[in-house]
Amino acid sequence: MMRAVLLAWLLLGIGPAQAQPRIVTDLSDRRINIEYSFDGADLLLFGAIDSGGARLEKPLDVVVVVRGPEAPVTVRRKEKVAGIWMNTESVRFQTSPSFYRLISTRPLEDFASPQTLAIYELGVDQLHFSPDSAGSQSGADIRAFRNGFVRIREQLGLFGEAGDGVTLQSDVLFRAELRVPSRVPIGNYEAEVYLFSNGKVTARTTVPLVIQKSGFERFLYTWAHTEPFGYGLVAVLIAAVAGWGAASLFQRKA
Amino acid sequence: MQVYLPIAEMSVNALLIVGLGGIVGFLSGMFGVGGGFLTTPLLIFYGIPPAVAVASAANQITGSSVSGVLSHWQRGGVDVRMGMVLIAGGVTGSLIGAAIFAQLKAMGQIDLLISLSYVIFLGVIGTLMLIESVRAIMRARRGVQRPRRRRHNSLAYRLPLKMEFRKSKLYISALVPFGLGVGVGILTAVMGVGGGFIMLPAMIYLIGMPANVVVGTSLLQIIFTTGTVTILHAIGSKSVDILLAMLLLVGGVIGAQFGARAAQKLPGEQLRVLLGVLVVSVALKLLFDLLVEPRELFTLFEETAR
Repeated sequence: MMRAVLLAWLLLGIGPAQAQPRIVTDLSDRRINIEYSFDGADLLLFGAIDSGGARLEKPLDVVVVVRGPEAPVTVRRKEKVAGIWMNTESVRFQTSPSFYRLISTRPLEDFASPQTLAIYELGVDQLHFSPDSAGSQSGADIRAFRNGFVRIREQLGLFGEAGDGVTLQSDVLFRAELRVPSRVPIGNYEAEVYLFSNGKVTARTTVPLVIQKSGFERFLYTWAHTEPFGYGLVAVLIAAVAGWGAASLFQRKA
Repeated sequence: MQVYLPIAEMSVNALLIVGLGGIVGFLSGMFGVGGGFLTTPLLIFYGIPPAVAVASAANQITGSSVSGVLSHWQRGGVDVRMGMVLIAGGVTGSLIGAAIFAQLKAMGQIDLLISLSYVIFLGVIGTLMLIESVRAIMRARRGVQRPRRRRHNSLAYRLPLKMEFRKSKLYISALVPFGLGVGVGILTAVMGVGGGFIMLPAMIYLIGMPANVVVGTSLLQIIFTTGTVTILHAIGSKSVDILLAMLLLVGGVIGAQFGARAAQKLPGEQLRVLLGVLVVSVALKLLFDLLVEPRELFTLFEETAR
């Protein structure tokens, strides 16, 4: 649905000339399965620019954004209370992406205006986190919580901006590589690709990405969440049987 | 070899975890304590979320306790009647402890509670161990053989609900073992420990049980209490990671067998000093982490309900 709207918008926006530039893209893996030996994944995103007969103003830039599912997050801050560092204040962000990696041919500020970045929500600073108004913190304080949130995500490799990650060949072919860490949230992701022509967005496309547990891992996770009592009981029984087995094994040896 | 843990949602070095279980199992085989009080902090140091560490360590302790209780059973070293009363207390305590755990998790203070509990208990127990084992060494050097007298706590005789415990040759109030069980149950649920290091001295000095049934009976209690805690945590915070528990168990049961054998060959008192030093060091490290400004002041709590 969104793609149809986008396409219609593109068609209308380009004007009377029939030439419509477009950008097409795909991923090396549209589905990342987390299995028993998962230690992260290397994702390759690639595609091509089709000027559609139009004359594209140089320079051309490509921006790739991989976004993960949104989920509410509570950020807590530690303070020294009676000599001990403990959690005191917290801010709840209602909509925060669990994964946000931006890669581009050049650093964003080199070719795009702040207004353009704001319109398309490009860059970590442009993201809307929707803090809960229940807290009594000031705007500057909420900023500190937001920065802490982003910093933690960056250290885990879940957030990041790389101003040189996309290589563009002959103004036609582009590719970008992304390292997905092992501690990655599960769900539906989207990779958005933007074509910038002299600092203006001229084409745009998206490709979906699914990251999910599969096989035995998924089975265990689902089981633990849908039938917790049975899961717990079996966990206990397995441990008991394993302990029994180990004891008798060693006794027979001795 | 990396293994992805589905509940902890991170990949760990499987050999390291097995090794960790092995070391703790070795210590437990040698000294007769569950070793859980070392497993949980070590897992947390490694980076496993505390709630998952507590729940999965409890699961592992069930297994290693089953492994240990069998040899005691064969030697007639388990007082089942006393064990039942202890278990009744343990199950009650686990329910209370699991409720406390869930409440603090929602308040975002569960890490603090776990750390503080460990600092206090490890600090106290470790210091007592050090004092006791240093005294034992000095006594052995002087050649004084102090006869081990069973000190009876009169409290156990004064309280109501007396029951006869034939194996332990006691006729005391059942409230004392029940109360002990409750206390240990709460600790198991909150800290992921077996509780042996509290139960052993309490059984000897508070209840007055003979030394030959103490270890076996406490293992029986630990089995059922940790089992209950595992199920409660699985239902409540969904933090039991079977894979993690299994990795620890493999290392643990193998290590325990080696530890039990090593105990016969190596000097006991010196090793008890080392264990006391180890326990106090872990307590000090946890205390240090609480008192020193952390590198990252912020923590995230995700509310994903996938």
